[in-house]
Amino acid sequence: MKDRVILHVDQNSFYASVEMLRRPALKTVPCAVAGDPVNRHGIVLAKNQLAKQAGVKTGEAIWLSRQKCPDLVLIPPDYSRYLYYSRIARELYNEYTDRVEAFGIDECWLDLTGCPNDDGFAVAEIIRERIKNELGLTVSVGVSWNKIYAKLGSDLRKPDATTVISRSNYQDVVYPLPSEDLLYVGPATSRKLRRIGVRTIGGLVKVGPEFLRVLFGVVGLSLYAFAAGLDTSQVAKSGREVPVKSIGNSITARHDLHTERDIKAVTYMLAESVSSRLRISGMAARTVQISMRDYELHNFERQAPLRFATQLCAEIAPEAFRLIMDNFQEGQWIRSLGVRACNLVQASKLNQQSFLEDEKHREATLRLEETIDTLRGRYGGLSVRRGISLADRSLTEHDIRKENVIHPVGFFGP
Amino acid sequence: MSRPVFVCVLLEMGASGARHPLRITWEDGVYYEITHSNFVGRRAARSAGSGECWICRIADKDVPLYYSPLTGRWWMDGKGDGEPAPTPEPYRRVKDRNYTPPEK
Repeated sequence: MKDRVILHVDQNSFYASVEMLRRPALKTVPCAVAGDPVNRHGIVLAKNQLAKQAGVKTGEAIWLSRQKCPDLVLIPPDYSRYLYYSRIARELYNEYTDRVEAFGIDECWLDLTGCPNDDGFAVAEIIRERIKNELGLTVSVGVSWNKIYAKLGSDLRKPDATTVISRSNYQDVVYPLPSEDLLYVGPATSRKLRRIGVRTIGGLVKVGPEFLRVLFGVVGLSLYAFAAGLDTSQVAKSGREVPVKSIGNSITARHDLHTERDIKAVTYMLAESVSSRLRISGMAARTVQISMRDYELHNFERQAPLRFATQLCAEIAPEAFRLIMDNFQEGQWIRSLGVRACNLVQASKLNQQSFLEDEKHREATLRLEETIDTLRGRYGGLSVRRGISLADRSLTEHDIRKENVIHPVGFFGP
Repeated sequence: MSRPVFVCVLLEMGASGARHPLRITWEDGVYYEITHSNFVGRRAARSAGSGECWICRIADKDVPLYYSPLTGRWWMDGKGDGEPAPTPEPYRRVKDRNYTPPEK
Protein backbone atom coordinates (compact mmCIF):
# COMPACT_ATOMS: atom_id res chain seq x y z
CA MET A 1 0.00 0.00 0.00
CA LYS A 2 1.18 3.48 -0.80
CA ASP A 3 2.33 5.56 2.15
CA ARG A 4 0.23 8.44 3.33
CA VAL A 5 1.46 11.98 2.69
CA ILE A 6 1.09 14.09 5.82
CA LEU A 7 2.23 17.66 6.40
CA HIS A 8 2.56 19.41 9.73
CA VAL A 9 2.58 23.17 9.39
CA ASP A 10 3.80 25.16 12.38
CA GLN A 11 3.64 28.94 12.38
CA ASN A 12 6.92 30.17 13.89
CA SER A 13 6.56 32.07 17.18
CA PHE A 14 3.07 32.88 16.04
CA TYR A 15 1.92 35.61 18.44
CA ALA A 16 5.25 37.44 18.24
CA SER A 17 5.32 37.19 14.43
CA VAL A 18 1.84 38.69 14.13
CA GLU A 19 2.88 41.57 16.39
CA MET A 20 6.06 42.14 14.35
CA LEU A 21 4.01 42.12 11.18
CA ARG A 22 1.92 44.95 12.57
CA ARG A 23 4.92 46.87 13.90
CA PRO A 24 8.04 45.92 11.93
CA ALA A 25 10.24 47.98 14.27
CA LEU A 26 9.76 45.24 16.86
CA LYS A 27 12.07 43.05 14.75
CA THR A 28 14.99 45.18 15.88
CA VAL A 29 14.46 44.70 19.62
CA PRO A 30 13.97 41.62 21.77
CA CYS A 31 10.25 41.41 22.36
CA ALA A 32 7.77 39.00 23.85
CA VAL A 33 4.00 38.72 23.94
CA ALA A 34 3.09 38.32 27.59
CA GLY A 35 -0.03 38.22 29.73
CA ASP A 36 -0.97 40.97 32.14
CA PRO A 37 0.88 40.73 35.48
CA VAL A 38 -1.86 42.76 37.19
CA ASN A 39 -4.32 39.99 36.39
CA ARG A 40 -1.58 37.50 37.37
CA HIS A 41 -1.29 36.10 33.86
CA GLY A 42 2.29 37.35 33.75
CA ILE A 43 4.03 34.71 31.65
CA VAL A 44 5.73 34.84 28.26
CA LEU A 45 3.40 33.50 25.56
CA ALA A 46 5.73 33.95 22.57
CA LYS A 47 9.02 35.67 21.85
CA ASN A 48 10.96 36.80 18.82
CA GLN A 49 14.36 35.59 17.65
CA LEU A 50 16.36 38.24 19.52
CA ALA A 51 14.61 37.42 22.78
CA LYS A 52 15.21 33.74 22.15
CA GLN A 53 18.92 34.39 21.74
CA ALA A 54 18.88 36.17 25.08
CA GLY A 55 17.54 33.02 26.69
CA VAL A 56 13.89 33.97 27.10
CA LYS A 57 11.67 30.90 27.13
CA THR A 58 7.98 30.51 26.37
CA GLY A 59 5.95 29.90 29.51
CA GLU A 60 8.32 31.46 32.02
CA ALA A 61 7.41 34.29 34.36
CA ILE A 62 8.01 37.85 33.19
CA TRP A 63 10.33 38.74 36.06
CA LEU A 64 12.57 35.79 35.14
CA SER A 65 12.72 36.82 31.47
CA ARG A 66 13.50 40.37 32.54
CA GLN A 67 16.45 39.10 34.56
CA LYS A 68 17.85 37.34 31.50
CA CYS A 69 17.04 40.15 29.10
CA PRO A 70 16.59 43.57 30.76
CA ASP A 71 15.70 45.27 27.44
CA LEU A 72 12.82 42.94 26.74
CA VAL A 73 9.84 44.77 25.26
CA LEU A 74 6.55 43.32 26.43
CA ILE A 75 3.43 43.37 24.30
CA PRO A 76 -0.06 42.50 25.55
CA PRO A 77 -1.75 39.73 23.54
CA ASP A 78 -4.46 40.52 21.00
CA TYR A 79 -6.29 37.23 20.52
CA SER A 80 -8.79 38.43 17.92
CA ARG A 81 -5.88 39.29 15.64
CA TYR A 82 -4.21 35.90 16.17
CA LEU A 83 -7.46 34.07 15.52
CA TYR A 84 -7.93 36.03 12.32
CA TYR A 85 -4.51 35.06 10.97
CA SER A 86 -4.98 31.48 12.11
CA ARG A 87 -8.29 31.28 10.22
CA ILE A 88 -6.80 32.75 7.04
CA ALA A 89 -3.93 30.25 7.16
CA ARG A 90 -6.40 27.38 7.53
CA GLU A 91 -8.42 28.64 4.58
CA LEU A 92 -5.21 28.53 2.58
CA TYR A 93 -4.44 24.95 3.66
CA ASN A 94 -7.97 23.96 2.68
CA GLU A 95 -7.18 24.79 -0.93
CA TYR A 96 -4.88 21.75 -1.02
CA THR A 97 -6.82 19.15 0.93
CA ASP A 98 -10.11 18.67 2.73
CA ARG A 99 -8.34 17.04 5.68
CA VAL A 100 -6.91 19.83 7.82
CA GLU A 101 -6.74 19.16 11.53
CA ALA A 102 -5.81 21.98 13.86
CA PHE A 103 -3.56 21.31 16.85
CA GLY A 104 -3.80 24.51 18.82
CA ILE A 105 -4.05 27.92 17.20
CA ASP A 106 -0.85 27.85 15.16
CA GLU A 107 -0.33 24.22 14.14
CA CYS A 108 -2.16 22.08 11.61
CA TRP A 109 -1.87 18.64 10.10
CA LEU A 110 -2.70 18.25 6.42
CA ASP A 111 -3.31 14.89 4.78
CA LEU A 112 -2.54 15.03 1.07
CA THR A 113 -3.07 11.32 0.39
CA GLY A 114 -5.16 10.88 -2.74
CA CYS A 115 -5.24 14.59 -3.54
CA PRO A 116 -4.51 15.75 -7.11
CA ASN A 117 -1.20 17.17 -5.95
CA ASP A 118 0.16 14.69 -3.42
CA ASP A 119 3.84 15.53 -3.71
CA GLY A 120 4.42 16.45 -0.07
CA PHE A 121 7.60 18.45 -0.52
CA ALA A 122 6.26 20.47 -3.47
CA VAL A 123 3.03 21.38 -1.66
CA ALA A 124 4.98 22.22 1.51
CA GLU A 125 7.17 24.64 -0.45
CA ILE A 126 4.14 26.25 -2.10
CA ILE A 127 2.37 26.68 1.23
CA ARG A 128 5.49 28.14 2.81
CA GLU A 129 5.91 30.66 -0.03
CA ARG A 130 2.24 31.60 -0.05
CA ILE A 131 2.06 32.16 3.71
CA LYS A 132 5.10 34.40 3.42
CA ASN A 133 3.77 36.41 0.47
CA GLU A 134 0.12 36.57 1.41
CA LEU A 135 0.19 36.76 5.20
CA GLY A 136 3.70 38.02 5.85
CA LEU A 137 4.37 35.21 8.34
CA THR A 138 6.76 32.29 8.27
CA VAL A 139 5.98 28.62 8.78
CA SER A 140 8.08 25.51 9.15
CA VAL A 141 6.70 22.37 7.56
CA GLY A 142 7.37 18.72 8.28
CA VAL A 143 6.53 16.10 5.64
CA SER A 144 6.24 12.43 6.48
CA TRP A 145 3.96 9.40 6.31
CA ASN A 146 2.54 9.77 9.82
CA LYS A 147 1.41 12.63 12.02
CA ILE A 148 4.10 12.17 14.67
CA TYR A 149 7.06 12.28 12.31
CA ALA A 150 5.52 15.18 10.42
CA LYS A 151 5.38 17.12 13.69
CA LEU A 152 8.94 16.15 14.56
CA GLY A 153 9.98 17.35 11.11
CA SER A 154 8.41 20.77 11.52
CA ASP A 155 10.23 21.17 14.86
CA LEU A 156 13.61 20.20 13.40
CA ARG A 157 14.36 23.27 11.34
CA LYS A 158 12.96 26.68 12.21
CA PRO A 159 12.01 29.20 11.03
CA ASP A 160 10.79 29.12 7.44
CA ALA A 161 11.95 25.67 6.32
CA THR A 162 10.66 22.35 5.06
CA THR A 163 11.91 19.04 6.45
CA VAL A 164 11.11 15.72 4.83
CA ILE A 165 11.25 12.56 6.91
CA SER A 166 10.95 9.63 4.52
CA ARG A 167 11.26 5.86 4.82
CA SER A 168 14.82 6.17 3.56
CA ASN A 169 16.12 8.74 6.03
CA TYR A 170 14.00 8.44 9.17
CA GLN A 171 16.50 6.30 11.05
CA ASP A 172 19.20 8.91 10.53
CA VAL A 173 16.96 11.90 11.26
CA VAL A 174 14.56 10.79 13.97
CA TYR A 175 16.44 8.17 15.99
CA PRO A 176 19.24 10.44 17.30
CA LEU A 177 16.71 13.02 18.61
CA PRO A 178 16.23 13.24 22.40
CA SER A 179 13.18 11.35 23.58
CA GLU A 180 11.63 14.55 24.98
CA ASP A 181 11.05 15.76 21.42
CA LEU A 182 8.41 13.09 21.01
CA LEU A 183 4.78 13.98 21.62
CA TYR A 184 3.64 12.91 25.10
CA VAL A 185 7.13 12.50 26.53
CA GLY A 186 7.03 15.11 29.28
CA PRO A 187 9.36 15.61 32.25
CA ALA A 188 7.95 12.63 34.21
CA THR A 189 8.13 10.14 31.34
CA SER A 190 11.54 11.43 30.37
CA ARG A 191 12.81 10.88 33.93
CA LYS A 192 11.54 7.29 33.89
CA LEU A 193 13.17 6.68 30.52
CA ARG A 194 16.47 8.05 31.71
CA ARG A 195 16.38 5.65 34.63
CA ILE A 196 16.44 2.73 32.18
CA GLY A 197 19.09 4.45 30.10
CA VAL A 198 16.89 5.63 27.23
CA ARG A 199 17.79 9.10 26.03
CA THR A 200 16.89 9.08 22.36
CA ILE A 201 13.91 8.14 20.23
CA GLY A 202 16.03 5.40 18.68
CA GLY A 203 16.62 4.06 22.18
CA LEU A 204 12.86 3.96 22.75
CA VAL A 205 12.42 1.82 19.64
CA LYS A 206 15.23 -0.52 20.65
CA VAL A 207 13.68 -1.17 24.07
CA GLY A 208 10.63 -2.63 22.35
CA PRO A 209 6.88 -2.42 22.95
CA GLU A 210 6.63 -5.17 25.58
CA PHE A 211 9.03 -3.52 27.98
CA LEU A 212 7.45 -0.10 27.48
CA ARG A 213 4.05 -1.59 28.23
CA VAL A 214 5.34 -2.98 31.51
CA LEU A 215 6.81 0.42 32.36
CA PHE A 216 4.01 2.77 31.26
CA GLY A 217 0.95 0.60 30.68
CA VAL A 218 -1.10 1.15 27.52
CA VAL A 219 0.57 4.53 26.99
CA GLY A 220 3.85 2.63 26.53
CA LEU A 221 2.46 0.98 23.41
CA SER A 222 1.44 4.37 22.03
CA LEU A 223 4.89 5.74 22.78
CA TYR A 224 6.49 2.84 20.92
CA ALA A 225 4.19 3.37 17.93
CA PHE A 226 5.01 7.10 17.96
CA ALA A 227 8.74 6.49 18.12
CA ALA A 228 8.86 3.76 15.47
CA GLY A 229 6.69 5.65 12.97
CA LEU A 230 3.85 3.13 13.27
CA ASP A 231 1.23 5.70 14.28
CA THR A 232 -1.85 5.34 12.09
CA SER A 233 -4.10 8.05 13.52
CA GLN A 234 -6.06 9.88 10.84
CA VAL A 235 -6.05 13.58 10.08
CA ALA A 236 -9.56 14.76 10.87
CA LYS A 237 -11.68 16.30 8.12
CA SER A 238 -11.90 20.07 8.17
CA GLY A 239 -14.91 21.39 9.98
CA ARG A 240 -15.63 18.05 11.60
CA GLU A 241 -17.03 18.78 15.01
CA VAL A 242 -15.47 16.91 17.86
CA PRO A 243 -18.19 15.75 20.23
CA VAL A 244 -18.05 17.88 23.34
CA LYS A 245 -17.49 15.94 26.53
CA SER A 246 -17.53 18.77 29.00
CA ILE A 247 -17.78 22.53 29.16
CA GLY A 248 -15.81 24.45 31.71
CA ASN A 249 -14.30 27.81 32.57
CA SER A 250 -11.60 28.67 35.02
CA ILE A 251 -9.91 31.86 36.06
CA THR A 252 -6.89 32.96 38.01
CA ALA A 253 -8.28 35.64 40.27
CA ARG A 254 -6.67 39.02 40.39
CA HIS A 255 -5.91 38.49 44.04
CA ASP A 256 -6.15 35.39 46.20
CA LEU A 257 -9.65 34.61 47.40
CA HIS A 258 -10.31 33.90 51.03
CA THR A 259 -13.72 35.23 51.90
CA GLU A 260 -16.98 33.49 51.14
CA ARG A 261 -18.21 36.57 49.34
CA ASP A 262 -15.31 36.71 46.90
CA ILE A 263 -15.50 32.98 46.21
CA LYS A 264 -19.22 33.21 45.63
CA ALA A 265 -18.85 36.11 43.20
CA VAL A 266 -16.24 34.30 41.12
CA THR A 267 -18.12 30.98 41.21
CA TYR A 268 -21.34 32.57 39.99
CA MET A 269 -19.48 34.40 37.24
CA LEU A 270 -17.89 31.15 36.03
CA ALA A 271 -21.15 29.21 36.31
CA GLU A 272 -22.95 31.84 34.26
CA SER A 273 -20.45 31.46 31.46
CA VAL A 274 -20.65 27.66 31.62
CA SER A 275 -24.44 27.56 31.58
CA SER A 276 -24.58 30.05 28.75
CA ARG A 277 -22.16 27.93 26.71
CA LEU A 278 -24.25 24.84 27.52
CA ARG A 279 -27.31 26.56 26.08
CA ILE A 280 -25.44 27.58 22.93
CA SER A 281 -24.26 24.03 22.28
CA GLY A 282 -27.67 22.58 23.18
CA MET A 283 -26.34 20.37 25.93
CA ALA A 284 -27.36 19.79 29.52
CA ALA A 285 -25.10 18.68 32.34
CA ARG A 286 -25.70 15.95 34.89
CA THR A 287 -22.52 16.50 36.87
CA VAL A 288 -20.78 19.60 38.08
CA GLN A 289 -17.08 19.65 38.78
CA ILE A 290 -15.01 22.28 40.53
CA SER A 291 -11.27 22.78 40.55
CA MET A 292 -9.32 24.91 42.99
CA ARG A 293 -5.71 25.90 43.21
CA ASP A 294 -4.41 27.59 46.31
CA TYR A 295 -1.56 30.09 46.56
CA GLU A 296 0.97 27.30 47.03
CA LEU A 297 -0.21 25.93 43.68
CA HIS A 298 -1.81 22.78 45.13
CA ASN A 299 -4.54 21.56 42.83
CA PHE A 300 -7.79 20.17 44.01
CA GLU A 301 -10.84 18.80 42.18
CA ARG A 302 -14.24 17.58 43.30
CA GLN A 303 -17.43 16.68 41.50
CA ALA A 304 -21.02 16.06 42.40
CA PRO A 305 -24.08 14.85 40.50
CA LEU A 306 -26.90 17.27 39.82
CA ARG A 307 -30.45 16.17 40.59
CA PHE A 308 -31.52 16.73 36.99
CA ALA A 309 -29.73 17.30 33.76
CA THR A 310 -29.68 21.06 33.52
CA GLN A 311 -28.57 24.10 31.57
CA LEU A 312 -29.49 26.52 34.31
CA CYS A 313 -27.00 28.70 36.08
CA ALA A 314 -29.51 28.80 38.92
CA GLU A 315 -28.89 25.07 39.47
CA ILE A 316 -25.22 24.77 38.54
CA ALA A 317 -23.91 27.74 40.49
CA PRO A 318 -25.29 26.85 43.96
CA GLU A 319 -24.08 23.26 43.59
CA ALA A 320 -20.60 24.41 42.53
CA PHE A 321 -20.50 26.91 45.37
CA ARG A 322 -21.57 24.24 47.87
CA LEU A 323 -18.83 21.92 46.62
CA ILE A 324 -16.22 24.63 46.99
CA MET A 325 -17.33 25.69 50.45
CA ASP A 326 -17.49 22.05 51.65
CA ASN A 327 -13.84 21.67 50.74
CA PHE A 328 -12.66 25.12 51.62
CA GLN A 329 -10.74 25.37 54.83
CA GLU A 330 -10.68 28.45 56.96
CA GLY A 331 -7.50 30.38 56.31
CA GLN A 332 -7.00 28.91 52.86
CA TRP A 333 -6.16 31.22 49.97
CA ILE A 334 -7.46 30.34 46.55
CA ARG A 335 -5.52 31.47 43.52
CA SER A 336 -7.64 30.06 40.77
CA LEU A 337 -11.08 28.54 40.49
CA GLY A 338 -12.76 26.49 37.80
CA VAL A 339 -16.32 25.30 37.21
CA ARG A 340 -17.00 22.54 34.73
CA ALA A 341 -20.19 20.89 33.53
CA CYS A 342 -19.71 17.25 32.52
CA ASN A 343 -21.65 14.10 31.85
CA LEU A 344 -23.48 15.96 29.10
CA VAL A 345 -26.71 14.97 27.35
CA GLN A 346 -28.57 16.50 24.45
CA ALA A 347 -30.91 19.12 25.89
CA SER A 348 -33.49 18.49 23.15
CA LYS A 349 -34.00 14.96 24.41
CA LEU A 350 -35.00 16.17 27.85
CA ASN A 351 -38.60 16.49 28.83
CA GLN A 352 -40.29 16.75 32.15
CA GLN A 353 -37.92 15.14 34.57
CA SER A 354 -39.93 15.20 37.72
CA PHE A 355 -43.45 15.48 39.04
CA LEU A 356 -42.42 16.99 42.31
CA GLU A 357 -40.13 19.68 41.07
CA ASP A 358 -41.84 22.79 39.90
CA GLU A 359 -41.26 22.31 36.19
CA LYS A 360 -42.95 25.56 35.29
CA HIS A 361 -40.57 27.45 37.48
CA ARG A 362 -37.58 25.79 35.79
CA GLU A 363 -38.90 26.71 32.36
CA ALA A 364 -39.37 30.29 33.46
CA THR A 365 -35.81 30.39 34.80
CA LEU A 366 -34.52 29.02 31.49
CA ARG A 367 -36.39 31.73 29.59
CA LEU A 368 -35.01 34.36 31.95
CA GLU A 369 -31.44 33.16 31.50
CA GLU A 370 -31.86 32.99 27.74
CA THR A 371 -33.09 36.57 27.77
CA ILE A 372 -30.02 37.62 29.73
CA ASP A 373 -27.87 35.80 27.14
CA THR A 374 -29.52 37.82 24.38
CA LEU A 375 -29.03 41.08 26.25
CA ARG A 376 -25.37 40.28 26.84
CA GLY A 377 -24.91 39.27 23.21
CA ARG A 378 -26.27 42.64 22.20
CA TYR A 379 -24.85 45.03 24.76
CA GLY A 380 -21.75 43.23 26.04
CA GLY A 381 -21.10 40.66 28.73
CA LEU A 382 -21.05 43.23 31.51
CA SER A 383 -24.38 44.84 30.65
CA VAL A 384 -26.40 42.58 32.96
CA ARG A 385 -24.66 41.56 36.14
CA ARG A 386 -25.39 39.91 39.42
CA GLY A 387 -25.44 42.04 42.54
CA ILE A 388 -22.74 39.92 44.14
CA SER A 389 -20.31 40.73 41.35
CA LEU A 390 -20.37 44.40 42.38
CA ALA A 391 -18.81 43.68 45.77
CA ASP A 392 -15.30 43.50 44.34
CA ARG A 393 -15.24 44.71 40.78
CA SER A 394 -11.58 43.89 40.24
CA LEU A 395 -12.45 40.20 40.54
CA THR A 396 -15.44 40.11 38.29
CA GLU A 397 -14.88 42.64 35.55
CA HIS A 398 -14.19 39.97 33.01
CA ASP A 399 -16.28 38.94 30.09
CA ILE A 400 -15.34 35.30 30.48
CA ARG A 401 -17.31 33.98 27.55
CA LYS A 402 -15.69 36.46 25.23
CA GLU A 403 -12.22 35.95 26.61
CA ASN A 404 -12.54 32.18 26.36
CA VAL A 405 -11.31 31.66 22.83
CA ILE A 406 -8.37 29.32 22.77
CA HIS A 407 -9.36 25.75 23.41
CA PRO A 408 -6.54 23.44 24.41
CA VAL A 409 -6.46 20.17 22.53
CA GLY A 410 -4.81 16.82 23.05
CA PHE A 411 -3.55 14.38 20.46
CA PHE A 412 -5.98 11.68 21.55
CA GLY A 413 -8.91 14.09 21.36
CA PRO A 414 -10.65 15.91 24.17
CA MET B 1 12.44 51.68 4.78
CA SER B 2 8.78 51.92 4.29
CA ARG B 3 5.94 52.91 6.54
CA PRO B 4 2.20 52.31 6.32
CA VAL B 5 0.19 55.37 5.38
CA PHE B 6 -3.49 55.01 6.17
CA VAL B 7 -5.53 56.56 3.41
CA CYS B 8 -9.11 57.60 2.80
CA VAL B 9 -10.57 55.68 -0.16
CA LEU B 10 -13.49 56.46 -2.45
CA LEU B 11 -14.86 53.07 -3.38
CA GLU B 12 -17.31 51.82 -5.96
CA MET B 13 -19.22 48.71 -4.93
CA GLY B 14 -20.16 46.64 -7.97
CA ALA B 15 -23.49 44.82 -8.23
CA SER B 16 -21.62 41.53 -7.81
CA GLY B 17 -19.92 42.75 -4.66
CA ALA B 18 -16.60 43.56 -6.34
CA ARG B 19 -14.90 46.66 -4.97
CA HIS B 20 -13.17 49.20 -7.19
CA PRO B 21 -11.17 51.94 -5.50
CA LEU B 22 -11.60 55.17 -7.48
CA ARG B 23 -9.68 57.77 -5.53
CA ILE B 24 -7.45 57.97 -2.47
CA THR B 25 -6.73 60.86 -0.16
CA TRP B 26 -3.13 60.89 1.12
CA GLU B 27 -2.43 61.87 4.71
CA ASP B 28 -1.57 65.44 3.65
CA GLY B 29 -5.06 65.82 2.15
CA VAL B 30 -4.06 65.57 -1.54
CA TYR B 31 -6.39 63.59 -3.80
CA TYR B 32 -5.08 61.03 -6.25
CA GLU B 33 -7.30 59.55 -8.96
CA ILE B 34 -6.96 55.83 -9.61
CA THR B 35 -7.18 55.28 -13.34
CA HIS B 36 -7.18 51.51 -13.19
CA SER B 37 -7.22 48.91 -10.42
CA ASN B 38 -6.73 45.19 -10.30
CA PHE B 39 -7.59 42.97 -7.33
CA VAL B 40 -4.77 40.49 -6.70
CA GLY B 41 -5.90 38.70 -3.52
CA ARG B 42 -4.14 38.70 -0.20
CA ARG B 43 -0.65 40.15 0.03
CA ALA B 44 1.83 41.03 2.75
CA ALA B 45 2.61 44.74 2.58
CA ARG B 46 6.16 46.01 2.26
CA SER B 47 5.57 48.48 5.10
CA ALA B 48 3.57 46.54 7.68
CA GLY B 49 0.70 44.09 7.99
CA SER B 50 -1.06 42.09 5.31
CA GLY B 51 -4.46 42.27 3.73
CA GLU B 52 -6.49 42.25 0.54
CA CYS B 53 -4.57 44.02 -2.16
CA TRP B 54 -5.39 46.06 -5.24
CA ILE B 55 -2.70 47.11 -7.68
CA CYS B 56 -3.73 50.64 -8.59
CA ARG B 57 -2.48 52.87 -11.38
CA ILE B 58 -1.93 56.30 -9.90
CA ALA B 59 -0.13 58.98 -11.96
CA ASP B 60 1.05 56.27 -14.40
CA LYS B 61 2.60 54.20 -11.64
CA ASP B 62 1.38 50.82 -10.38
CA VAL B 63 1.20 50.87 -6.59
CA PRO B 64 -0.41 48.46 -4.13
CA LEU B 65 -3.36 49.49 -1.99
CA TYR B 66 -4.22 47.27 0.98
CA TYR B 67 -7.38 46.65 2.96
CA SER B 68 -7.53 44.81 6.27
CA PRO B 69 -10.87 43.05 6.91
CA LEU B 70 -9.82 42.79 10.56
CA THR B 71 -9.53 46.53 11.21
CA GLY B 72 -11.47 47.86 8.22
CA ARG B 73 -8.64 50.26 7.33
CA TRP B 74 -6.97 50.97 3.98
CA TRP B 75 -3.30 51.74 3.65
CA MET B 76 -0.42 52.12 1.20
CA ASP B 77 3.35 51.81 1.43
CA GLY B 78 4.82 55.25 2.11
CA LYS B 79 8.38 56.48 2.17
CA GLY B 80 10.28 56.97 5.40
CA ASP B 81 10.65 55.09 8.65
CA GLY B 82 7.73 53.53 10.44
CA GLU B 83 7.03 54.11 14.10
CA PRO B 84 10.08 53.30 16.23
CA ALA B 85 10.31 50.25 18.46
CA PRO B 86 8.90 50.87 21.92
CA THR B 87 11.41 51.27 24.71
CA PRO B 88 11.14 48.69 27.45
CA GLU B 89 9.55 49.91 30.63
CA PRO B 90 11.77 49.47 33.67
CA TYR B 91 10.68 46.40 35.54
CA ARG B 92 8.83 46.97 38.73
CA ARG B 93 6.84 44.72 40.93
CA VAL B 94 3.25 45.03 39.88
CA LYS B 95 0.83 45.80 42.61
CA ASP B 96 -2.87 46.07 42.42
CA ARG B 97 -3.45 49.56 43.73
CA ASN B 98 -6.98 48.85 44.91
CA TYR B 99 -5.99 45.89 47.00
CA THR B 100 -4.00 45.43 50.16
CA PRO B 101 -3.41 41.80 51.08
CA PRO B 102 -4.17 40.82 54.66
CA GLU B 103 -1.72 38.69 56.66
CA LYS B 104 -1.35 35.19 55.31
